[in-house]
Amino acid sequence: MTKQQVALEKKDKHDNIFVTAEHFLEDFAKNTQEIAMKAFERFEKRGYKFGHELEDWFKAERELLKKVPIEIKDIDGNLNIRAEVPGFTAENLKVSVEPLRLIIKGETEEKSEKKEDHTIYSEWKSNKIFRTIDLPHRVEADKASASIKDGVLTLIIPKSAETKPNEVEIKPV
Amino acid sequence: MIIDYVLNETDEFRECEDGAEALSVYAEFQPDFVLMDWEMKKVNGLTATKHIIAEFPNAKILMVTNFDEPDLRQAAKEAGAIGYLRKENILELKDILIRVKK
Repeated sequence: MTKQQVALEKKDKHDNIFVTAEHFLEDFAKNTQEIAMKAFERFEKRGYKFGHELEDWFKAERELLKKVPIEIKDIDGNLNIRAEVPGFTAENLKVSVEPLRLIIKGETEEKSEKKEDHTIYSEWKSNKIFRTIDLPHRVEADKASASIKDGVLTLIIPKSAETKPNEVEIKPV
Repeated sequence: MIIDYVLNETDEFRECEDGAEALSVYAEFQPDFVLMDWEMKKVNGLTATKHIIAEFPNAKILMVTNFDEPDLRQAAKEAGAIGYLRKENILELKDILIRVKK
């Protein structure tokens, strides 16, 4: 057992956060649609002025999804991946690991009630993350383990013994 | 999402607020490739592309838009962009970059 694995045992392990990638198909479509709508709203507000497509999409995406900074280390035959997910717990995080891809999804809803005159109303603030990461090595997805501590999700995934580079078919021009 | 896709293609990623910033960031950072909007504050995307290419002839700039117009394609080509990419086809980015690197 490696030092990292020993360290992992000492933290709360949360292997129940793993799901299959199919689980995210609907989220992917929904997020894409929501971002497209937000981007279109920007286009509309600008008076349908062409030319800012990339900016609109990036800003819409940033509005909808929080950034998830990640770090990937190759240690003792494992990919050691740390993702900053402040405010998220094992209960509202889902992770899928495929041989060359990792998806992290999280969603929390913060409810705050404010009194204004005699009316009580609720504000719901969505707090979403959805990050897809191409892995630098082929991994043994079913052997991944996860832990969460201090807002950092740590995943340890063994690399496949037969490590193949990311193969991409090169199409003729 | 698009940002993830771009992040997966590169180790470092810089966003610029306007065309003038794109010029200075290019000079400082000299990225592997640039995704350029058509319109930007101060200096528009086409002009920024021309300036970058004038100074860095090997710069790989892709103009991104939702509109597929022959005139725009031609203008991008004349400015020195290596490609004209419709936003919805951004998943082809990897293939385009592989072709460019060859």
